[in-house]
Amino acid sequence: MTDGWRELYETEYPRLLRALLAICGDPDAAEDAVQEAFVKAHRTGLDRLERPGAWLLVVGTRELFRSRRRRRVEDEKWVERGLSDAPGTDAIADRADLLAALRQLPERQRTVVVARYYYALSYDEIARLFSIKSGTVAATLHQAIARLRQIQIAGQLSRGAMR
Amino acid sequence: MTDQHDDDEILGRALARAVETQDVRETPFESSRLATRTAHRGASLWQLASIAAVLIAAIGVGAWLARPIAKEPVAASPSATPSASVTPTPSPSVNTGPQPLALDHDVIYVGRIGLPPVSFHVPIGALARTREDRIAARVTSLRALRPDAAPPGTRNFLWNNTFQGGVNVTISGDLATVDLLLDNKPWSVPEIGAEAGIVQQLVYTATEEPGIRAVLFTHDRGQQMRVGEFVFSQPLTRENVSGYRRVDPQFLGEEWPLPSLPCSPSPCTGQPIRLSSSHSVDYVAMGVTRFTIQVDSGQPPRFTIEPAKTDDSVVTWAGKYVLRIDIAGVEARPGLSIVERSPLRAVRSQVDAGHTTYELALDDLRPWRVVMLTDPQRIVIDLGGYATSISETIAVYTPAPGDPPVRQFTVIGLAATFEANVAWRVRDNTQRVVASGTTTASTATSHQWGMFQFPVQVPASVTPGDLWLEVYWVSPANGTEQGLVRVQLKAG
Repeated sequence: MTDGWRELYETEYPRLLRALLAICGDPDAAEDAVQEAFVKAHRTGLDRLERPGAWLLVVGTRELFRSRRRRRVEDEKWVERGLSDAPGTDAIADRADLLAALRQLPERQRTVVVARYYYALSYDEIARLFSIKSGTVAATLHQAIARLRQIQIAGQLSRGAMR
Repeated sequence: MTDQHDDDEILGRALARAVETQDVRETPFESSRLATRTAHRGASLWQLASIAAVLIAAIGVGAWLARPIAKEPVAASPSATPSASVTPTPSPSVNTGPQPLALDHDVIYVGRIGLPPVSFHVPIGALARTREDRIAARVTSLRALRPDAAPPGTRNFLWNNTFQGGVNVTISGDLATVDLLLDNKPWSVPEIGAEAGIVQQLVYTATEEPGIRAVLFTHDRGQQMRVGEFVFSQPLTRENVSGYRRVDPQFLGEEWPLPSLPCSPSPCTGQPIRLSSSHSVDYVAMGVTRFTIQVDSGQPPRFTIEPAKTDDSVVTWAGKYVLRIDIAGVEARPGLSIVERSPLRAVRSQVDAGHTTYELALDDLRPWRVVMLTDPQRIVIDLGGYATSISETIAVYTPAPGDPPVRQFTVIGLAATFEANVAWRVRDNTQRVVASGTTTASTATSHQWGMFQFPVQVPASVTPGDLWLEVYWVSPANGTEQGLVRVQLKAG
């Protein structure tokens, strides 16, 4: 029995940790949510997880957003870990820009973006897993991408102006 | 439009790379909370050594009433040092060698908020030979189990509490009277749930001795003992303190016919029905023990389920009770399996003349529910769960009491309601109903339970705070609410 859980953990843990870290920006909160998600998966039972990776993402994001107080702390930590810490190369700065931009989106947009592009889930899958309408997924993604592009362009302009 | 879509995809891929290339500090499986849960009840050498060290010292104190007991010379023996005397005894559930044929009674019970306590192995047998000694040793060792040595998810409410050793035990029939040295000090009850936890740990631990069903606790030479508001005014059995409502005898021994299903997927060959069984503890949900019999071929069998009181001083593999399932069919791998995961101590299956009898050896008699599933055909028997999440007709497994309130969650449970109808609502911390709905369980009759699962979405307008999930059904006869279960989701 443990082998199945170990396999699931070793397969899904790294991806889920990175997804939640991208969403919240706080390594401790992400780690805590990931661990709780796996505990809840264990409580639910391996044979009842139709798509364990997606299931863990849903539960992990719920864990992440479960209190406003935690979110405030996350925001503060994100500021501390923000662009000023980013190494100097453009590629890495671009990635940091993107992650920083992602963090500026509303919760639902962040989650849907990560589910769509990092987990490669379809619109229908996202709709079903997060209990939202398929049309809402499309609209949310559209708004999120537009906003990300705005923020990213602003970041690039800002960085270019400082050279 | 296509260019826009391509641009979005490019940005999405860049974002995915950004997410993937983040520096993270990964926690290996062995250090994860999941590993702690799957490890169940193992204890490390140093944990057992620390328990044994305090236990040895405690047994020396145990003679405080100068009772004429033939003591083992443990305190004086050079070999009684913790490092030399203690051999870690792995739980039989993880023992890869030959299976023992008797239960491990070298156990004490540790508490769980909202659930009955669970057994935990400590070395006792070698240190105490009489029944009285063994009871005294178990009770004494409760105070010695450090919080960090208790199994994950459990609490030792007697750690660092008023009782610091000194036990006198007398036995009459199946009743033990246990007198504790408390120096007339009150028990410390630092939190909600601790009072019940102390009482449960004491009663379950004292009655672990085979042949003992009830215990009367007193203190300081026969004075009536009190833990918080709880008064030990009479002998108590495990069922008195488990937290569950009394299991009504009128529901015992009922026959459970499977629905008349076709023989599919196997043809009706007339061959004996093949059975296979499995069990789990705390896997479906915390506190829930599940025993499943899979019917692999042939006609749907009939079966009966009946609990029976057992004399565990005679039947060495049995607990205080067994739940006996008689079913037409042949178990593929009959035999005895020692489980030792509270409340399931062992499972025995015997085949005779095309019939199989399964016996689940249990710590106590607690509510049980039967669900029939098809494709493949399975008989599922669930025992226990959070006492406050169970009524006569509704059992909520998820969420558990005390879980944090969230905007979206899934409710999972069982129902035995009229036409399998289930209703639910969510109240906020002002007791205002903020969400409600109905669902249908998989199948259900008056004595057969069905599974249900439904999502709950709490409106964004609800102020964060405690939530109450209420699950019930409405009587078609008079419109009254039946079988109400309330689960409090606690913020902060």
